[in-house]
Amino acid sequence: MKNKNLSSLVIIDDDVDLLELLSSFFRQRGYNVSSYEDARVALAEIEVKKVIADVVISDLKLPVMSGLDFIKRIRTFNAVLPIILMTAEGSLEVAVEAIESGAYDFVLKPLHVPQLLISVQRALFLNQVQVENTNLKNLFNEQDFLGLKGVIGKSPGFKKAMELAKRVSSSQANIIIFGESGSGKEVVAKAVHELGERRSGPFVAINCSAIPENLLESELFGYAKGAFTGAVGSKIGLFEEANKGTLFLDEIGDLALPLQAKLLRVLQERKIKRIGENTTRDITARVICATHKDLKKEVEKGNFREDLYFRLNVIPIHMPPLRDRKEDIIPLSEYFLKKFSLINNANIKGFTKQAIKRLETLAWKGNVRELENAIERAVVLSNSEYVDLEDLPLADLGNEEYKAESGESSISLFSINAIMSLEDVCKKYIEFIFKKNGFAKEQTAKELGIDRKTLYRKLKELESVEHTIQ
Amino acid sequence: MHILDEHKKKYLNRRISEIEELKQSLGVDDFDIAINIGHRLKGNGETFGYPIISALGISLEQAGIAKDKVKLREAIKQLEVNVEENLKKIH
Repeated sequence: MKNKNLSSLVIIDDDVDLLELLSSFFRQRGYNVSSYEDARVALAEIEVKKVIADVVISDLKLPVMSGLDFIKRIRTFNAVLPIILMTAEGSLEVAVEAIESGAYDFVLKPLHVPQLLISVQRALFLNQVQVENTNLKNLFNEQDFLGLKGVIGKSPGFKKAMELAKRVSSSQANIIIFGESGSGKEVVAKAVHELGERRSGPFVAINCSAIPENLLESELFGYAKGAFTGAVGSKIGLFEEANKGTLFLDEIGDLALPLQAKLLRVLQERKIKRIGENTTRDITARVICATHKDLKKEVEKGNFREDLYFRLNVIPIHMPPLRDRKEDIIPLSEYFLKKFSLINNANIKGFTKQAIKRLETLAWKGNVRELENAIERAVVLSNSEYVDLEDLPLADLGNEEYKAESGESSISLFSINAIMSLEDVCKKYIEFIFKKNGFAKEQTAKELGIDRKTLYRKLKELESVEHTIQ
Repeated sequence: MHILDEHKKKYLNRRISEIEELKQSLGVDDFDIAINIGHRLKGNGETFGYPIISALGISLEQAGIAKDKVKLREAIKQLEVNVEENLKKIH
């Protein structure tokens, strides 16, 4: 029964017969086995020489250093390594002491080796889960902005937004966050919540454009039993649910006018009435709104109440689109790569240079959300240790190059009114292919069907492209 | 679990040298040797497919703890016979 298994076992037993038998048994099953007769030697190898151990199998009764002493020493520098103890002393007291000392399992001698194999497999699974858990925790702890975990960005626009969020977090003023879809408005809202005094309260988010008007009203305000057909019981609304916390109303620009009036009253009076009730209830939730729309224009068009606009627009925070904070693309990409590698158990170490260029070149009209989706896709599709061009989208939806490439709108590549000369068309086309390939010369030459020298010559003629190269 | 003859033979041959060690220990009243060897046989005999050796390991360990030379001599003799019989089966 041979199978590929890269797990590493350390076996400790002063019984040479068993040591040889177990080493042979596990090696035949693909395990890397390191065997020791003396626990002190094994300890030194693991601690100092960093011998890889996914699971340790140790005898309990050993000369000089017992199995229990070995566990105690291991635990001083490794809290999670699973250790299986073997013993011919089959008393319950010994078993309890072993488990209390930190042993993962306890098996009796004479050994039933297949049973030991099952114990090893289970210990390996536990070890894998623990390692993944630790890596995930590290991932979410290592990214740190203003003391917030998992908030990534170093561009001036991002920093400005987050620093403003920090400054206003302790105030009671109304906040409205402007930004394109997927740019991270909710991240800012959560930052305000986490950095303020309401952090111990709930953060409740709702997308106003995703729920029909009549349903949204009952969601926000709740209802009394019998308030309408189907209201068989009473229900608290999100304003109450977010008590002592924060209510985040995303896409407020899509809120219907009648609800805008009700929201205005709530913001003014800090009281709500559940649907079908006459009594008012005080609300303590802080309301943060966000929209991708230009509310001033919506006011002019009559789609948004001016009084609500002024009420909300006390402290506006602008979250720039990803294309205006290119410095954040790679840190975000690396963060998502680590995240999805861990989630998908994929051993992907990073991006190729060409992939990085592609990431930096794309327009990311769907902003961080689109980038996140693209990296997730790349992690799932990638066959190598590094994400390469073929794992990434040609371009984001809405991108002119993408449309041209996909044939959606081939005219967009040459979207000018004047008739172009053949030379200009050639230059434009080379520029397009060059950019599409992330400025990779070899790939561009290959795709154009010309050699590298010709490409260099052509590129020199393209001032704009040359500028890009520099 | 199937144990290869190669492993079994090696195991039994090691017992032969241990039996000599046990016999010598009787002459110098060193009971620790019987306790240690007995404890080890208790733990490994059955794993190699020899439950009687495990049982004799228990006898050796207990006799060693009790410093009972009569029982020790008897256990060593039985162990010697059993090891020889098992070796013959492999040959």
